[in-house]
Amino acid sequence: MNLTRLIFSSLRHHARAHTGTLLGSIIASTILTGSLVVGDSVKRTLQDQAKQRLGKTQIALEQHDRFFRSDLGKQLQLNSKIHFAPLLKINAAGYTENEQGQTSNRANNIQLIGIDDNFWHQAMLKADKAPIIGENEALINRRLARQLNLKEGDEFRLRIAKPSVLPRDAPLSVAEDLTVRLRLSVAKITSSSSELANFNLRPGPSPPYNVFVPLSWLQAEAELPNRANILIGSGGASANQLVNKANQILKTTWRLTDAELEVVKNSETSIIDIRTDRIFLDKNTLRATQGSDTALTYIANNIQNGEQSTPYSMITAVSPNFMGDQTPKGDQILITQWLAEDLGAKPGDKLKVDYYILGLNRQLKERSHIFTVKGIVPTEKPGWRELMPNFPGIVDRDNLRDWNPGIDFDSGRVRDKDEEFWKKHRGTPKAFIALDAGQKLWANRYGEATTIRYSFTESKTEEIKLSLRKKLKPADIGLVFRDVRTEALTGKSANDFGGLFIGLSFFLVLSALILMGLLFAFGIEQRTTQIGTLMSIGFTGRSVRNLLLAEGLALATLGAGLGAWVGLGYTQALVKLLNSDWGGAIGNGTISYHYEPLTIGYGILGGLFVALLTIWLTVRKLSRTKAITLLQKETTPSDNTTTSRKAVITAITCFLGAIVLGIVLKDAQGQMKAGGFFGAGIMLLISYLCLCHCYLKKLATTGVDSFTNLTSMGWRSSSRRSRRSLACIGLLACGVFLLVAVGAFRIDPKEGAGENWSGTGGFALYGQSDVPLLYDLNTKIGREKMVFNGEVNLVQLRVREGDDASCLNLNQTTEPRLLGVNPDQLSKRNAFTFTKGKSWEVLKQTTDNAIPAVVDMNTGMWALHVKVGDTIDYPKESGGTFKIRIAGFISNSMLQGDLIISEENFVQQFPSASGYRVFLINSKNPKKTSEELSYALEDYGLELTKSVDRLTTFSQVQNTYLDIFQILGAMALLLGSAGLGVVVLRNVMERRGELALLQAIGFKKFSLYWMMLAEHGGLLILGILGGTLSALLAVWPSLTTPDQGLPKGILWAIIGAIIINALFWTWLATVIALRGKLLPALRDE
Amino acid sequence: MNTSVSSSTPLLNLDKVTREFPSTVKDEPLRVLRDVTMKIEAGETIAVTGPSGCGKSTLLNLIGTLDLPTNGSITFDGRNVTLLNENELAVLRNSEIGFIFQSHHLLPQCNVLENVLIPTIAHGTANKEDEDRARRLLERVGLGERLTHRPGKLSGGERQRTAVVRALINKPKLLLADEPTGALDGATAEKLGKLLVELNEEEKVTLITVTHSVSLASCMKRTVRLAEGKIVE
Repeated sequence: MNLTRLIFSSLRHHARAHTGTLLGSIIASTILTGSLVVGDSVKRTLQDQAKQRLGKTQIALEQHDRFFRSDLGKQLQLNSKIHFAPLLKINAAGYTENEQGQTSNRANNIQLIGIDDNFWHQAMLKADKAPIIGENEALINRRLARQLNLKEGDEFRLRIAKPSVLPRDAPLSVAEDLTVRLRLSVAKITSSSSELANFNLRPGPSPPYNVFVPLSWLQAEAELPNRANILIGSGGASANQLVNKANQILKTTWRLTDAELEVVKNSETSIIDIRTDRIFLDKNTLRATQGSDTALTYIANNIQNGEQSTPYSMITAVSPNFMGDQTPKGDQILITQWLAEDLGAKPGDKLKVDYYILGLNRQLKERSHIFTVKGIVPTEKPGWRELMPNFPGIVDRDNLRDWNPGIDFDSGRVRDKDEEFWKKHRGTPKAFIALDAGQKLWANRYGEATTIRYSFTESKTEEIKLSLRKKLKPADIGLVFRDVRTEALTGKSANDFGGLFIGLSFFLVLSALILMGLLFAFGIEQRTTQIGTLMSIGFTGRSVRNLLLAEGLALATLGAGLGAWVGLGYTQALVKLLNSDWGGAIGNGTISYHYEPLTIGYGILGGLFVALLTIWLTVRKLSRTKAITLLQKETTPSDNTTTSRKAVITAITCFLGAIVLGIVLKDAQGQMKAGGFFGAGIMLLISYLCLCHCYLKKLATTGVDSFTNLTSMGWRSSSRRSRRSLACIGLLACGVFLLVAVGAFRIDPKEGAGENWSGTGGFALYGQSDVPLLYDLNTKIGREKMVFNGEVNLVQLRVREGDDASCLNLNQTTEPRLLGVNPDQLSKRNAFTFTKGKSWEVLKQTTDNAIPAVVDMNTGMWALHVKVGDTIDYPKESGGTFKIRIAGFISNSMLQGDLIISEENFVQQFPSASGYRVFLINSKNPKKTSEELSYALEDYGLELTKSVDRLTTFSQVQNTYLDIFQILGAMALLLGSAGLGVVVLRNVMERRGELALLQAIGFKKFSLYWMMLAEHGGLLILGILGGTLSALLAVWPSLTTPDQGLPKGILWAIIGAIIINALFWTWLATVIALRGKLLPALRDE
Repeated sequence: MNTSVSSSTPLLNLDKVTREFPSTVKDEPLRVLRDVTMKIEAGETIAVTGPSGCGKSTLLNLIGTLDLPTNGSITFDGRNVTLLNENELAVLRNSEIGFIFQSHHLLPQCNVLENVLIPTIAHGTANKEDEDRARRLLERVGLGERLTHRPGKLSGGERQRTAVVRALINKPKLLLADEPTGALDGATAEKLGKLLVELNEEEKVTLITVTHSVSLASCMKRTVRLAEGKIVE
C-alpha cells in the first residue's frame, strides 16, 4: 500500500462523483484551448493573406502623388538574387457596358498597376511561367472578375485620375483633362497564390480589385513616360537587411530627376538653372542650395500705373545678389523698358500689381500690392526668359490669347502689343521685385521659388548635381524603402483574438469552474468521515488536503487533456460561425482553421491551472479542519456573528462606494463614465450579495416570522446551507448582471440616425471618389465647374491613403488613412458626439508641434490602441515623420477607420494630395441627391453609401461581439442553472429522510415539490433581482446617452430565458430527487 | 468523585481538564467537561460510561488528541499534548494511539488489507513487516479469508474487526474505542468486546472504551462514570 495506490483507488471508487469535476475541467480547458486556437487561426489567416498580397516582396518604396524613374530599381541591383520591380499604381473605377452601351457592372477603388517582367520575380510562379499581357490587355484578380462579371477575353473599361506631376491644387495648375478612359480586355484571371493576383502593399479587410497592365503602356496612357510610383524588392536574406542595404545604396544611386528636379545648362546665356516640373521648388531643395541665386516667378493679372495698365505679365522675385546692386529691396520694383513705356512709368512711381492666389478649393482670390519703381532695366537680358517656369497651358502656347492658365484668364484684355511681346520675348519677366517681398505674396505650401540659378562653367553642372544629391537626402523627398514583410508575416492582428475569445468566454469558464468546484466540494462532503478517519489515525490536515489535491490533479490533467482535444472542435465551430453567422465580427472576411501545438500546450496548462486552483480553493480549508468535526459530519463551524459583521461592513462600504462613484462620475466623459458606473454596479452587486449572506444567516438563527405554510417552510430551508444558497444567488446574479449590462451596449444604428449627434453626424450619405474633386460643390462656382445642376450641401474631406483602421480590418494597422476637414463645417452643425474632447474646435489647437486629430473611439481604442493625448508619428510627404496628437474621440461613428485632422494642417503636410475624395452629404431627399451626384460625378468614380448603412456595417462588428458574448454568456448561465439544479438535487438527496418523514406524517408529494420550488425559487428571485438592479446602475450612462438606449426587448427576453431555464433545472432536480418511494429513506435516517 | 490511582508514571494524566464550546443561544459557553482529573496506567482497560451528553465522547476525543482542552493539561507518556502542534499531534496519533469508532469509517475504495495498512502510509510507505503484521492480526481476528474484500462485502462485525486491526497496526500504546459495539447486534458485540480485551493483553495496549453497554463495560478492569461533565465514580 502506498499513497499513489490510495489516490488511484479513491479515483476509481469515486469515479461517478468525479464525473462532474472532470466535466467542469474539460469545459474550462475546452474553452481556453479553443479560444487560444482561434487566435492561431486568425494569425495564420493573416499570414496567408500577407503572403498572398506580397508574394516574395520584402521591401517597398511607395510615393504618394510623386513619381520617380522607373529604372531606378535597375541601379539598385545588389546581387543576382535581389530583384526590384517598378510599378505605376493609379486609382481607377471600372465598369462594363451592355450591348446598349449602358453601364452594367461597376467597381470602384480599383488598383490599376503597371508592371514589367521584373514584377514576376516577386511572385511564386508555377514553373517560372509568367502570364503574358499585351497592350490594351489586362490581368485581373478573381474578386474584380466576380464584381464585373468578367471572363477571359471580355472587355471592360477603366476610368483613371490622370496623374500630374504638378499637383492639381497648385497655383497655376490646370484643372482639365482630369480623367482618362481606358478600354481593356481580360488576358487572364490570375491566381492569388502564384501570380500575385491580390497584390497590395497595405493590409485590408478584403483583397483589393486589381488590374495589371504593361508598365510602358500605362506610362504612355498616363503621360508619365519612364515614371513609376512604387518600387518593390525581394531576394534579401531578410527584409530588415535588405531595407537597410537598399536605403543605403539609394543614397548614391538616386538622381535629381527622381525628385522631379532638372538641372538646365545654357552655355549661350552662361547660366545653369535648377527647376522642377512641379513649378515650385520645395523647402528641402532650397535648403540644399542655400546661398545660390534664387528666383520666384509669378503671373500678375495686371500692373497698373495710374490709368495705364498691362495685363498678364510675369514678375520675378529675386534674391539679393541676383541683379547685383540693382536688385530691388523691400517694396521696390525694377521694371523693364517695355513695361516702363507701356505704363509710362518712371523711378519713384507707385505701381499696383494684381495677382491671384489659389484658396483651398481652387477658389481664386485676387490680391494687390503697391510697389515703388526703383529703376528701369532693359526689356530682356540673356537668361531672363528662362526664369518663367513651365506653366502648364502657357509654356507651349504660340499666342498669348491662347493661354489656358489655372486662373481666370480674359483673352479680351490681351492687346496686340502684348501678343507681340509674347512672340518676341516669351515669358521674360516684365518686372523684378525682392525675393522676400515675392515670397510673402506668392510662396505657398508647394514651394517658395521657381528657379535656382548658377553661373555656367563646363564642370559646374556635375558639381551642382553632386552637391545637391549630397545635401538632399532621398528620404527628404519620400524616396525611402520600408520593410513591408516582417510585420505582415507576424500575422499580428489589431486585437489578440485568443485573448478576446477568452474574455468573451470568461463567464462560461467561470461557470464551469464554479460548477466543478461545487461538484468537487460535494464529493468532499460525502467523504468527510473518511477524511476525519484519516486525520484521526495520524494523517495531518495538510497531507489529507494534498491527497485530495493529488486526486484533483489527476482529474484536472485528464480534463485538461481531453478539453484541449475537444477545444479544437470548439475552435472549428467558432471559426465556422465566424465565417457565417458571426461574420460581422471579422468584417465578413474568412478565417481558416489552424492550430499550433504550443498553443494547445498553453491551453492544457491553462485548463490544468484553473481547474487545480478551483480544487485547491475547495479543499484549502481542510488543513485547518479538525478530525473530530469531520467525523461528526459537520462542516467547519464559522462564527456567525463575525462573518455577519464583516458582511454588513462590506455591504455598507460597497453601497456607499457605489453611490460616491455614481456622484463623482456623474459629469465624467465617455470611457471614464462608463467604466466608473460599471464599477459602481459591481460594488452594488457585492453589497447585495453581502446582504443576502446576512439575511440567510439571520434566517438560519432566528427563522422567519411566520412558519405556517409550505412556502415559508421551504424558504427557511434555504438558510440551512447558506453558502450553497449564496453560491446560487451569486452565480445567477453575476450571470444576469453580465448579460443585462452587456446587452445595454448594443448599438442600434438606426436610432436617431438623422440627428447630428448620432453616428451619421446627421449626414444622409457618405461618398468616396477615385478621382479627387478640386472644387467646393457647396458653391455655385464649384457646381458650375463640376457641371452639377442640383443643389447639395456637403462636407468635403481630403484623403491621404493609408491602412483601413476600422474594426472591419483584422490586421494591425500602423498608418491609418488620414482625412483633412474644415473643422468649422462640422462644428457648426455639432456633428457626431464627442466622448472625449469637446468639439471639432480641438482640431485647431496645435500644441507641441503635434497636429491634433479626432478619431472614432472604437478605432482609437481597438485598432490604434491610443488614448486622448497620445501622439502618433505619421510619414509626411516631404520625408520623415510628423506628430499627430489624439485630441478627441467621437462615439460610434461612420468615420471609423480614419484619423481626421484639419484641412489646413493636412495641406501643409501633404501639399501634393490634391482635391477631395470623401464627402459627407446632407440631404432631405437622399435618393434624388444620390442620383444627381452619381450622374454628375460618374467620371470621378463616386460611390455613395447611405450613412446609416455604413454605420450599420461598423455597428455590426460591435453587435456581433455582443452577440457572441451573450451567446457564450447564456451558455454559461445554462451551466450556472445546471449548477443550481445540482445544488437542488444535492439538497433534496441529503434531506430524503426528512422529506420521507414529512410524507409519513401526511404531506403530499405535490407539497414537497412546492416546498422545494419555494426554497430554490426564492434563491432564483434574489439572484435575478440583484443582478438586474446592479446591471441597471452599471449601464446608467448608456441609458442616458442620446444615441444609446436600453434594448428592453432583448433584456426581457434574456431575463425570461434565465428564469425559465433556472426553474426547469430546479424542477428537474426536484423530480429526480423525489422520484420513487421516499419512505425507505427513513431507515437510512 | 475523581478517580486517581497508581503512584508510578502513568501513561496518561489528565489534570483539571475542562472543555467548553461556544453556545449559539446563550452568552455563556457550553461547558461539556469540568475540571476532569484522572490518571491511566499502561495496560489498563477502562470503560467510560454515563448518560448521553455527559461528555464521554468529548473526553475520548481529548485523550485521543482529536480535540484540545479549553483549560487543564493532558500528559501522554510524559508529554504534555496541549503543547504539541498539529503535525506532532498527527505523528503522536499515528504511532501511539489507535482509534475505533462506533461506525467503522473504513475507506470503501480500499480492501480489508489496504484499509488496515492505511495508518502505515500516513508518514511513510507500508513495508513488508507492516503487511505481515496486518495479515497476522487479520488472521487473529478471523478475517484471514477476507483480505481482498471491500468493506461493502463485509458484515457489521467484520467491518468493526477490520477497524480494530487498523487501530492496532502501528502498535499503539493506547487504544481508544468510542461505542465500538453500538452498531452491532448483541452476540457480535459480545465477541468484539472479548476480542478487545484479548488484544489488550496480547498487544500490551491500554484500552479505553466509551460505551453504554454494561456487558462491554464489565469486560474492562476499571469503569469511569461521567455525569454532567464530571467524573462521579
